[in-house]
Amino acid sequence: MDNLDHRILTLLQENARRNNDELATMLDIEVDVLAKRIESMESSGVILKYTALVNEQVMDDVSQPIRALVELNISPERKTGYDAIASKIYQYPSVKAHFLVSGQFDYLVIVEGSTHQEIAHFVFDKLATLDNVTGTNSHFVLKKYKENGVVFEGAANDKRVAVMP
Amino acid sequence: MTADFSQYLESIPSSGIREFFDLVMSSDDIISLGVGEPDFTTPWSIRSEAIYALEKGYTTYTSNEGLLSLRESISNYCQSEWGINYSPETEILVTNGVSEGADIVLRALLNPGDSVILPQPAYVCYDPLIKLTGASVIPVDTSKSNFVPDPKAIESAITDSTKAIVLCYPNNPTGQSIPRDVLEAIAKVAKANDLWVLSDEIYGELSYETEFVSIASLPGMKERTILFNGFSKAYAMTGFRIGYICGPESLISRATKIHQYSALCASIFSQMAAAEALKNGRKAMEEMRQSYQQRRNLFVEGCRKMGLETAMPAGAFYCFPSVKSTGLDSVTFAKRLVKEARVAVVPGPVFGDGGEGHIRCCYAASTEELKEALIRMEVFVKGLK
Ligand SMILES: Cc1ncc(COP(=O)(O)O)c(C=O)c1O
Repeated sequence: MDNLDHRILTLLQENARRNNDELATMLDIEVDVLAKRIESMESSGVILKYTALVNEQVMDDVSQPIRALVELNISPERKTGYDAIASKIYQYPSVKAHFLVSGQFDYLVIVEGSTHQEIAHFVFDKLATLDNVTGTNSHFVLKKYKENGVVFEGAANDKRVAVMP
Repeated sequence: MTADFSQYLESIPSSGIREFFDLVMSSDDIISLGVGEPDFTTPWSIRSEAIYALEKGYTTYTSNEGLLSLRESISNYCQSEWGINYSPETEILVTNGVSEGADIVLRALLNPGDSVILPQPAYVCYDPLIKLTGASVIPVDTSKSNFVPDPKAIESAITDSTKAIVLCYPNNPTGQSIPRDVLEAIAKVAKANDLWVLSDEIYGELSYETEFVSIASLPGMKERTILFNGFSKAYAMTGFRIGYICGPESLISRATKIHQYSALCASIFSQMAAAEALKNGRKAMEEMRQSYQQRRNLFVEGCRKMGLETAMPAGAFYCFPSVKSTGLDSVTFAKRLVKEARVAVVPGPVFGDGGEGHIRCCYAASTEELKEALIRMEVFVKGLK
């Protein structure tokens, strides 16, 4: 990874749908150089996937998913440690993100469901009952302000004077 | 009342471009590449410092020169950025933007009958501010030397009354910079003819491939150079109205005398925000610069593809495509572009000699807007053929 790779990543993270011609022009490099860089970041797993960043809050239907941030306390297993237990958790499709963290608890898990009950059941039935889980603490998300560096509401309008020498 | 006003003011024609500006301001639904400022909002750490200052009750005057702590930061910044050593006590004045700095330095320096060399196209404030002092402007057209001032042309424009050379590089409107060897040749001319150099370096930090060289850093130049800089462009702080001038005590103290009466001091919370910009703003500034550079590449290529000859800018966030191939003059092109393609640019002649046949496009706009503007411009240009 060098500076060019990082610049490519920054532009793709801003907008993954930019085409290669545009990216190559912006970075002042040949298109095939760019394509090779992207390919190698894809094959080495630096770029895992291209996805859409969705704002459920403005969906006009009622099927908005509900999210909770769940803190889990763990008593790690000898030899396999935290990773083996983690894999018993993150394989559930309703677990959208899963981090091992420092501090008062061990895992921070982001769980998604269609109702509060669904999430509550999932936490009590599937997570809290795991042998190594010694405690849980759930926080339902009330509002999303910012994700992946993008602010979700109040997109700034252009306040500049339209013409100025 | 008698209609007897300042004769120097009367000698400055009111902007012939007013009508065009009114046209743009009254048009809806346009993409504007006619702006003169960053599209970034001031970085939050800087804004929050201004808010903090207000919350804590920093609502007072400061010393005329500006907060000493800010002048100390500016002094360190000039040293680390450009290798120039200014005394915070005697060689730096905090101003209400470069705009005020230009006004007070010109007033402190010039007498009626003096003349000042002004390579053009250049930012619009210098010509009228020079004339307001009763001095005259000697324009040097840079369009024949790729918008980089030619030291020989400067030298041959010098007369007995010439007192100073104004330089604004990286340049608004062209985006061009002066390469080091040319800058050295200009410095030689200034020294040989005992001229002041007033160097507006407000876009200095926004230099792309080549590192910016301040003329004040060249040997023997500090004592004859006034450096104008500010926070408007590099730190996206236009609304804060904050800048500074650095130079020999003789001229800074005299400019301060005017500033003391006409401005008193720069706003204290803007000064505190500016201090934060120098302390913690570097990363944000570099990210903004990188983003302008990428958008420059995109926009310049688009202009070239549609057949408008465009020099690659070295800095700032403007490019200056030629519209000569369309057969239209700059103002006609710009007016029709607003009406027929709903894209606003600024006609080159606004910036003085050498601007005819060009338009200034500011690429501090989102890539989506730039791409849409390029499509509209291309349809318009193709339709002229
Ligand atoms: C070359 C140049 N100098 C000075 C200014 C004004 O700067 P400030 O906001 O510091 O007054 C501008 C603004 O467009 C400019 O382009």
